[in-house]
Amino acid sequence: MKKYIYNILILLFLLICQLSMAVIFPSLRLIPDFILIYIVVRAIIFGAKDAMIYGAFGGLFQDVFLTSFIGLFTPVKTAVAFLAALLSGRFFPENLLIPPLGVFMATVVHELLYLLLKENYLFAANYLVLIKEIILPLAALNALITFFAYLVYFLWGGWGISGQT
Amino acid sequence: MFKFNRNTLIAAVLVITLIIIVSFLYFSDLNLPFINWLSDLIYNTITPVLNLIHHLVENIKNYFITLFSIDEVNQEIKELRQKNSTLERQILFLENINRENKRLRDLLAFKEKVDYQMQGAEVIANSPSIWEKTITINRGSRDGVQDRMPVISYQGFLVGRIENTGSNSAQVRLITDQDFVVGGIIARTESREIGLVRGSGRDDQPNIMDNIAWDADLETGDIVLSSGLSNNFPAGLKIGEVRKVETDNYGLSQKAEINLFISDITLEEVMVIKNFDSKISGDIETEQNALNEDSETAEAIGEDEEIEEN
Repeated sequence: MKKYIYNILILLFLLICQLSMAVIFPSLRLIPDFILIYIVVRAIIFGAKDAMIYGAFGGLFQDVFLTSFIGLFTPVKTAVAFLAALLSGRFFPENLLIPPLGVFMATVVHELLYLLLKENYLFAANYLVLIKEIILPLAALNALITFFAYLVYFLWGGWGISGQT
Repeated sequence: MFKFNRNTLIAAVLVITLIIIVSFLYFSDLNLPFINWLSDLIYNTITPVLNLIHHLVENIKNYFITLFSIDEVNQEIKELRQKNSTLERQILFLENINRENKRLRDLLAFKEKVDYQMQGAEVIANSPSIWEKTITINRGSRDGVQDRMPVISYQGFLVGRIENTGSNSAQVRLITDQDFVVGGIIARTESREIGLVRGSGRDDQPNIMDNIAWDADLETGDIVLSSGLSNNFPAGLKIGEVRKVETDNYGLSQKAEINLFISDITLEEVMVIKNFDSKISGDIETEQNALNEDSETAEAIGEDEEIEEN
């Protein structure tokens, strides 16, 4: 139970960071999706069960700030967590490039899935332009953040992220 | 290939069931009190923290700005004092004009232009998604803010409308969001064309004004105001400037690219219009049209007289 509360608090903290980014730095064009990064890294390290639960929670928190509680982020984030978990246990922890690569792909899938489920974007959006101008730069930004975050986690010996103190 | 143990499969089934329930609730628009309560709980727990962070950041920013620009601040105070005395003189002068204006309005039996009842608010958070253009402000139902209220900037530019309200905060759907539609009217004496201004979903792209009549008189540089026809927004709020006009629907109508005024400013503080009388706005619109017609008639009479003289 302690583990879940600890991770939910981390998710809330990441959400607050995500929401405050554009207010603190108004000129930023792309806001990294910290919750997605956290969920995907967890999925890669700890597997599907863990990641899907936090994916659902993270999506739910994001939805509260967009719609009245239930929205698209909950299913999308959970699905992405499940897909990211396919990488779990298939690489050595020393390989620092796998988590950023996983986050890069997860961001692309996450954004495309969201667009496909969003009614007003589904048929109106120019997907090629959106991929080129928004999705790929965002995926690169998320991957870059993941690289440094995973590096810190790796050097720190995995302290904290498991929630098992 | 991928091995999942029993626990993982059970969790997956549970989560998928949860998603199906959640999706059903989302698409069927059901309003469950428990879910609303839970949503309010999360929302009202997070927003005070955001408010605190915002104030903290502002204080730190202001401290360093003051620290590094003390000479400029002193100079500015001196200039502002001079400006203040000039403005005080101007206020006295304008009060006289205001009295005269009121007297003339009474004489012409024009209705009084009512000011909106407004509530100032600070932007404390941005959207958690790149596809949704929303902001969170630090005023909520306790301050009298309600859903669907229009939000403007201090310069009078239309910013958006209130989407969800918490007790101490509210979400504003911005005019740039893809879901946002507002009736627009061209503000030119010779052209009062109307259309629908739709959000592009991107900050770096202009909004589109469509459903404009095929023969409408539209020019680059025309100012677009809110038409007030929908009763959701008061008439006369500044939206943007026409950048490009092109034909739409195979020539059956026209559409225009609108450069939004809010794209040029940083949204830090906004104002919520709590009370506006759409009827009064409509009356003002009618008065303006009547005035335009009067001036057109006067011009026409003038032209006729010139012809007669010749």
